[in-house]
Amino acid sequence: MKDNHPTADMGSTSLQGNDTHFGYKRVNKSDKAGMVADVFHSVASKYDLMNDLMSLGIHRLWKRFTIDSSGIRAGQQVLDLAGGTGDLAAKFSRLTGPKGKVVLADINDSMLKVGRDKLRDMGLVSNINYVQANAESLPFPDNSFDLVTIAFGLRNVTDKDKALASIYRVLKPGGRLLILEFSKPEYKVLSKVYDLYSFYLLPTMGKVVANDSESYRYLAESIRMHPDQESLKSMMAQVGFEHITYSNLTGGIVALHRGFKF
Amino acid sequence: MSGLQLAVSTVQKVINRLLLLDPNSQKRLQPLAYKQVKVSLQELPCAIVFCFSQQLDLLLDNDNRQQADCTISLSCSSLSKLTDSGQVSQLIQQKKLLLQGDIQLAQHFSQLFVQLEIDWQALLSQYLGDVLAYQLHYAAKRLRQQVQQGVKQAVTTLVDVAREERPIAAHPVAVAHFSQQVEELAADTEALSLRLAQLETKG
Repeated sequence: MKDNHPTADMGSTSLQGNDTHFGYKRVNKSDKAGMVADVFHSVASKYDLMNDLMSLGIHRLWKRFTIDSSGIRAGQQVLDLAGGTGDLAAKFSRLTGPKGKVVLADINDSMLKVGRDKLRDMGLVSNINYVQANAESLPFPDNSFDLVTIAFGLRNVTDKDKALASIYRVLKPGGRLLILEFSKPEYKVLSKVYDLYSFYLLPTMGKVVANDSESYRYLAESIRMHPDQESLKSMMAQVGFEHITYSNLTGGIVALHRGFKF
Repeated sequence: MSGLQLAVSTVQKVINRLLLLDPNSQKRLQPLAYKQVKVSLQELPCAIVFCFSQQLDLLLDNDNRQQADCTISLSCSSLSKLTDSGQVSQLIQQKKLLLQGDIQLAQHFSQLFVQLEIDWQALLSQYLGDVLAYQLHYAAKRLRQQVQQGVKQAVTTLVDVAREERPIAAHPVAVAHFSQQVEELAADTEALSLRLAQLETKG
């Protein structure tokens, strides 16, 4: 097989005008949302299964760590952005209780439907609302939420700065943002193993399980194009978040960023 | 941290399963609904927060920020003593058990586990049949009694050996006598030093 193994260098050339990245491809900004939507329409029905297979179940520990770091209390208002199939929303619904509220928001209605059906099958109906929304322009009033989480969704957003500013707006003073996302591995050896896994094994698994290798190739590419730990921290600071910290998980393959609005 | 999270995740599943097996647990869970109890064990790097709702969720308080309705701080060695309310008072007096927040909540929390009663025989009979379940249950009960008796016997034997055959440890009566002599000596020494001080001031 001819080695079309991409490297991070391929994406590092500067963008012009209305261009943005869709994985390693350069596309028009107005096209990206639709292309991402197509990816998630395709993977929605097998999303949870693929997450378990691709991460060998470790994604559940990453998400546990996110909830551990959330400081969630009964009665609080939570926005789970790009919440997709509702892994985090299910737990937040139990933790906030009947006096709290969880909004599961996703730009993709296929993912939202899968999430809604899953949560309803779990008996979680009373304090969860479902909203199809774009992270760049959230349809909620200012100062609405105690907590906003976005797990494995930020890298798919076309204008991340706009999304971060929108999240900042809807957070209450004292509220916090948690971003769980793939990031830059801490160690070179791990990085190489990770590259092999992402660019060869993942698309193959995608082909076998979901009959869609291209979507999982996009997954691997989009991870490489996402800002690293320090860059994302700076982006959060620029829109106004304070006390920003991040924790590397599984050697930096995933990072959890946390910032506060004061 | 992943190891601890995995352990906590497993413990959460086990506790939820055990609570489901006890038909009376729902009644004991009601006063805990949507409350959080933080348990801080000295041996663990971070506290564990018990969150009660339709099920129990365990959270790890990695950076000690999680506020809870009640916080219980103790060491692992004190855990077994929590089943006895007399010992609980002693632990609090000795400051080996610290309670902050809603004390009644702590009591409900304790009762949830102390009063856990699972009919293992009925559970086993679903898979093995009544006769085999009964025999297994009876055998396990006897084994447990024998082990407890054996441990008790071993401790008694060890104490006797240490005191009588190879006198490594002193008899309690001898220790008490020695302590009394030491106290008398201390009192005499203090009286002597007071007398000396008086003589010095006169001189």
